[in-house]
Amino acid sequence: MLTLQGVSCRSGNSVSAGTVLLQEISFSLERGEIAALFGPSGGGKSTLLRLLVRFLDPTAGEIRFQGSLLSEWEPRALRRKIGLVRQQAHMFDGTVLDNLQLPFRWLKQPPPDAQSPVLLEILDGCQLAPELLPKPADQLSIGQKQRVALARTLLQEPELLLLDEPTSALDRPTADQIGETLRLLRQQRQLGIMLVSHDLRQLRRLADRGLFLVDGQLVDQGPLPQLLDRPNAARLKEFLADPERDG
Amino acid sequence: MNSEAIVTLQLTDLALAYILVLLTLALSRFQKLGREGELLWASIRMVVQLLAIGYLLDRVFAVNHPLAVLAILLVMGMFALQVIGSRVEEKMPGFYRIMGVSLTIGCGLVAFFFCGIIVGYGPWYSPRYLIPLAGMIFGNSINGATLAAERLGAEIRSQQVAIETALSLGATPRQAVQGPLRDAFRAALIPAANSMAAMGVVALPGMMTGQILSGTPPIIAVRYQIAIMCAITGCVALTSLLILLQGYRAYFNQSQGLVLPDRKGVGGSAANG
Repeated sequence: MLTLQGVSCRSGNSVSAGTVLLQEISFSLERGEIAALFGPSGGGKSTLLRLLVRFLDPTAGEIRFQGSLLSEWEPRALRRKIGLVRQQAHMFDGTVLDNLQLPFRWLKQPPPDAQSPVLLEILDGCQLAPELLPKPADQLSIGQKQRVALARTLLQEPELLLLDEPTSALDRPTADQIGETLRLLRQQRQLGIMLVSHDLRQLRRLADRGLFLVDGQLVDQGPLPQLLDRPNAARLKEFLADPERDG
Repeated sequence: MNSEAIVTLQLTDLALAYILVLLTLALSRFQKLGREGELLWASIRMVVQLLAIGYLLDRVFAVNHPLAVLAILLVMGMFALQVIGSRVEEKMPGFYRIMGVSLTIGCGLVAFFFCGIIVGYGPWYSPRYLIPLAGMIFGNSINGATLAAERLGAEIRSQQVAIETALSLGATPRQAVQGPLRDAFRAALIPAANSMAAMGVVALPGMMTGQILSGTPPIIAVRYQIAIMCAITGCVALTSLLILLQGYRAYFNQSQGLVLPDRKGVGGSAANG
C-alpha cells in the first residue's frame, strides 16, 4: 500500500540548501499492518509523517501510495486516504459534534448527524460517550480531545492512519483502550497504521513491525517484538537501555 | 472666493515657528533624553521634504497635465510601499508585489469612485483635487495594510497546529486559514473605525482644518471630511482584504502544505497574537 524508496528530505526549498531531515529512507507498509516508528526526539519521525501527507515534499527518492507516486496525488484527495492525528489535538470552535462534522462541510458533503450509526460506532471505538456530542469541544480534557481528534479522522474513512503520539496524554487504561480500538480497526477495515510513540510497552503490544529512526536515518527495522528483544544496531541497543534519555 | 484674504506666512514667520522646535530641543537636552540629534534631523527633513513637495506641486499645478499628476501619485504610492515595508517585520514571500497590487487596485478603485463619482469634478486629473484626495486615501491605507500583513503572518504562525489539522482533514488552504484571515481583517479595520468614532470630538481632522483656514465655510469643510472618511474606510477594507486574499497563498507550497518563512531579525514585539 505504501512504499518509500531512498527518500531524503532537507529543510529549505532547494536540493543543496538546508539541513538534512531524512536520509535514504526505504520501507513499505501493507494493508492491515501496524508499523511503529520510534527513536529519540528530533530523529525525523514527525518529518516522515509530514512527508506522507505532502505537507513537505522529498528532495530525493520516491514515495508511492496505492501504486501511484505521492506527487501525482491531488493533496486533498491524498489527505482523505491518509489520515494524520497529531500529538496536539486541535479542537475547532463549536461542539464536539461540530468538530466531527466540520471536515464534511469543507468537502461540501452532507455530514453525519448525532444519530448516525457510523458516527456512534466510531465514538464507541474511541471510548467517547454520545453525551459528549453537544459539549463545547474546548472544555474537554486533553485525553478526550485526543480521542475526538482520532474519531474525527476515522469518520473520513482513511485507508492509512498516521498517529503522532496519540496516547501520550492519556492514562494507561485509556491508552490501552485506544490501542484496542486500533487493533479492531486494523482487523475490521484492513487499515494500515503508522504509529509514532515513545511508549515501548504499547508498541510491543500493538505493532507488527518496528522502524527505528535516528538523526534522519532508518538505523534498524524488523518485526516486533524481536526487534526490541534482540536488537542488532548499536544505536538501538543504546536507545533501549535508556529510551527517555533523548526524549 | 472669500471676503477675508488668507494670511500668507512669510519666511520670517516660519523662522519664528521654528523657535518651538528649538524649545523642544532645549527641553530634550534639559531632560537628558539624548535624542536631540534625532529630533534636529527629523525637523530638518520635515522642512526640506515639505518645501520640495510644495515647489513640486506648484510646478504640477502649473503644467496641469495628466501624466505629471499620475507621476506624483506613483511616487506617493512608492513611498507608501516603502513605509509599509519598513514597518512590517515578518514579510511574506512576494511581499512587495502583493502590497503593490493591493494598494494600486484598492486605493485606485476607491480614488476613482470618490473623485470621479462622489466629488465629480472635471477634468479627472485636476491636480487641485486628485493629488490631495488620492494622497489622503493612500496615506491612510498604510496603517490598514501594515496591520493586515503583520497580523496575517503572526496569526498563521500562532495557529499553525489549527491550520495543519484542517489541511490534514481535507480543507483547502483558504478554508484552513479562515480564522487567521478573519482575525487579521478585524485588526486592520480597527484604526479606521476608531478614527471615525473620534472624528470631530477628539480630533479635528487636517483636511477640514486646512479648508477652514483657507476660507471654506465649516459646513462645506465638514461635508468633505465626512466623504473622505467614508472613502478612507472603504479603501482600508478593500486594500486589506486584497492583501489577505493574496497574502495567505504565499504561506502555502504547491502541494498545499503550510510553509512558514524563517524568522530573520524578528524582535520581541512581533507575533504576540
